[in-house]
Amino acid sequence: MEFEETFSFEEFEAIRKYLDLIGAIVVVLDLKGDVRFINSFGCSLLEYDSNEVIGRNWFENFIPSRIRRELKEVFSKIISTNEGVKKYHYYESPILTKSGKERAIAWNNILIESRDGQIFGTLSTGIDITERVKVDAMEKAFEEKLSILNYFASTLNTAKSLDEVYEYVVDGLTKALGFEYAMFLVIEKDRLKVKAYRGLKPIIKEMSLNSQKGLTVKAVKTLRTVISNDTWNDKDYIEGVKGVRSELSTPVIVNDTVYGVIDVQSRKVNAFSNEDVKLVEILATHTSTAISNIERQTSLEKQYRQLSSLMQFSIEIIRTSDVRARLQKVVEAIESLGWRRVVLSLRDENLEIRSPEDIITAGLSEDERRFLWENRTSGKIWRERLSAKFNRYKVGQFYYIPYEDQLAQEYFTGSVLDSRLSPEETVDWHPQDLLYAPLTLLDGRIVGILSVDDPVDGKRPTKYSLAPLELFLNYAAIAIENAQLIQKLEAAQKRLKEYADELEVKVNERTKELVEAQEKLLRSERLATIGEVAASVGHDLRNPLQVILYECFALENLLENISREYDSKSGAMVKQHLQRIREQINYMNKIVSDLQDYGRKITIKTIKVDLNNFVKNVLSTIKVPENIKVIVDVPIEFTLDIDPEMMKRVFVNIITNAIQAMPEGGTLTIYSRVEGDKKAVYFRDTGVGIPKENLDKIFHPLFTTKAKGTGLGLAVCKRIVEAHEGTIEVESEVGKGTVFKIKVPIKS
Amino acid sequence: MGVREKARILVVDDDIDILQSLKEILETKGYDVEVAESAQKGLELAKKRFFNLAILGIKLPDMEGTELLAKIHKEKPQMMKVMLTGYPSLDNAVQALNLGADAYLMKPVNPEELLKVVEEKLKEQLEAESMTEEKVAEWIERRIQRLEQQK
Repeated sequence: MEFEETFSFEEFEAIRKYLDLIGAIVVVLDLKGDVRFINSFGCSLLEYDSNEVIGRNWFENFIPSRIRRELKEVFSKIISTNEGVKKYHYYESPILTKSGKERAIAWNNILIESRDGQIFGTLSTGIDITERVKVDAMEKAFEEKLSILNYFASTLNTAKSLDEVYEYVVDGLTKALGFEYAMFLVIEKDRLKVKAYRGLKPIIKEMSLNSQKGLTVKAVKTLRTVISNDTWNDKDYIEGVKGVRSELSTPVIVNDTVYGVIDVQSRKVNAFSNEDVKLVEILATHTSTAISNIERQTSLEKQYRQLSSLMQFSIEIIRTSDVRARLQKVVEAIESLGWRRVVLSLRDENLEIRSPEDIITAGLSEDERRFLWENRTSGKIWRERLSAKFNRYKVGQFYYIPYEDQLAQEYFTGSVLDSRLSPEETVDWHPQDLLYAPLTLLDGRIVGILSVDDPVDGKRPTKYSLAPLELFLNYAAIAIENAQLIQKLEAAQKRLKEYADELEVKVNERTKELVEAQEKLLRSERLATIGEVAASVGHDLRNPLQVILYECFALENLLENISREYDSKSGAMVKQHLQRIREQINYMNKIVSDLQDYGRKITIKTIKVDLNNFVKNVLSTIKVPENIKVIVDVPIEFTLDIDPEMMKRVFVNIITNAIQAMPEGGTLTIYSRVEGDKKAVYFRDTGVGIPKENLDKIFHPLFTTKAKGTGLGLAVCKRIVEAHEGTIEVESEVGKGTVFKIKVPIKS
Repeated sequence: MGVREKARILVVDDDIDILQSLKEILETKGYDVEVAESAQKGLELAKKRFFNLAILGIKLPDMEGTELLAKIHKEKPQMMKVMLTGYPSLDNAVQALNLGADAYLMKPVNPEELLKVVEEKLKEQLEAESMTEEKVAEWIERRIQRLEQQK
């Protein structure tokens, strides 16, 4: 359309009479803004007569003061510029009526030219759009509230807990949506409880779902919004908050289940419109989402916590070496999975508990532990509880026996600890319910029983809720199995080590024995050879010795005869030489005797011998030097059971040795003692002593420190004493002297 | 008892050197000595001739000295028998004494000791003989007395 064209005054005059007939306001203003024409519709809108309007300034009298200045500017632009006409051709602005009300008008403005072609003023046609604007405003408000709600929904989703959600909702209802009173009610078991509210404090904080009355209860039951705009005349209404005349209850449905109710109230009658219902319902949907999210998150967090605690405990269990400490960790882990009391009892092959230490618990007091030990259930009963009879109670590896079950009540009376759960804490778990599982090793042996009680969530166990418990149950079984294996291994290792040690000792002993036996064999072989040789050599030597002796004697006799005639001095010298030859013959004879003695078998014939007499007799055959004192300290009538011929050789040998050990003189003490069932004779000299390294060897044949010695003397002595079933010992200290001790048995 | 004639001694030993030395020593001391190198020869000599005393070695080439001792003792119980052994043992000594030995000496024996024993044994023999003579005289006397009484 072309809006630039102007309307001529003539044209206006022509249609003027018709303008009163149309249902729109028509106003002509001159350049000053004074009204030159208004039709009758316009007058009725303004509630004035036309003469009250004509000639008066439009802006000063019929426009609300708040936009007067703005409209004046628009008007001056329309009349002065083409752009103005174009821009404000269509314009919405209110008018002020005589009664002071405003009406919204949609204007169509064009210019009017006078007859001389000059711009006369404006012709404005307006339609009353007051009602439309009102509706628009309402829609706008609703939309605003909706957007507030949507924004609010995002806030709701930031809630960290259900309580926060409840608070946000009642806050949103009152502060953002402008409701007077608001409440959030949640279903707990069979009751509806007020969790949050704004406005007046509710008189009733909770109500039974079994109640026949109450809008909130009705909302829960019908799953629909319930509204009452005149509570005093509503038979279902129960006064929850004082002075309420209108109430609106919308159920909150989370995952297809009624969760609770959003409730708004007002002291006004007819306070709630359909929009309000919509708003509250939308809020209920948002709330449902938020609650569902939080529940999901809570359950996720719980799972995460359980998982992390599982991992934590798994690590701790693995790190713990002692089996009881490990089991302690296991019961603590199970406790952390939401069971207030956990009991793990280690059992023997008869399923009996052996000691109080075999009851491992978490969440139990010392008194309760003692009670468990003192009232422990017998292995026989446990065997029954784990038998096929109870198979129908199995949940995974666990046995869950609800209290209402007949069998359970028959079997499980007494010896049960009082539950720690209050009735409010239980959902579907009964305080007398039983939950237990056997600890089974790979080979099927049962080594313990795990019992859990008092679930924190108050719920009956399911296969899923028991899964982590089964993990720990298996941990415990493995821990025990490992401990047993380790024990066995350690025992085996110990046995092996002992055996190895024993073997080593035996090998060492045997080796030593073998070496000794070999040495002995070599020695005895050598000695046997010596003995054989000695026996024959001895005999053979005796004859020439005998001849030499006879010859010496003959020479001596001869010498006596001739020495009277010859030089007596050289005769004496010859005699001395002959004497020396004789001494050497005696010495040779001794060697031959020793050799023969060693070579032959010694046979003993013992008789009772008076020791004093015996020693006297022995000493009489030995030449004792002047500088050696011999003390014999033997009680009177002290006897020995010995072969006197044989023992004489021993005594002679020891005494001779003692004398030889004291070249500078000294004392030889011979004394006796009764020692147990044996008699001992001691020979103590004050001689040079025997060095330690030689002490062991002095009884060995052929060992000698003497320049002239066969080394057979003491060896023969030892043989003779041992033939008496006696012993010969020596103690010595270099520079102080030597003690020989001969011990022989007493014969009855 | 009258003065005794030279005592006769038999020496039996397997060692010729010993026989020779001992023979000389004994002869120097005034004994009449015969020697034998074997038991057989010794036994023959002992049977054939009279000996006051025998010195017997215990080990002989053809028989044990103790066996010879037993045989000689059977033939000549009055003969003094001295055993000379190269090897001492109580058993040997006891056995020898039981078989009739009058002395038992160990090789090598000191000549003085041997001579002492020989002298002693001869003296014992002499005393035993005189005892016998006295008994014979007594017996004769008693016979005479009985005969006189019967008359």
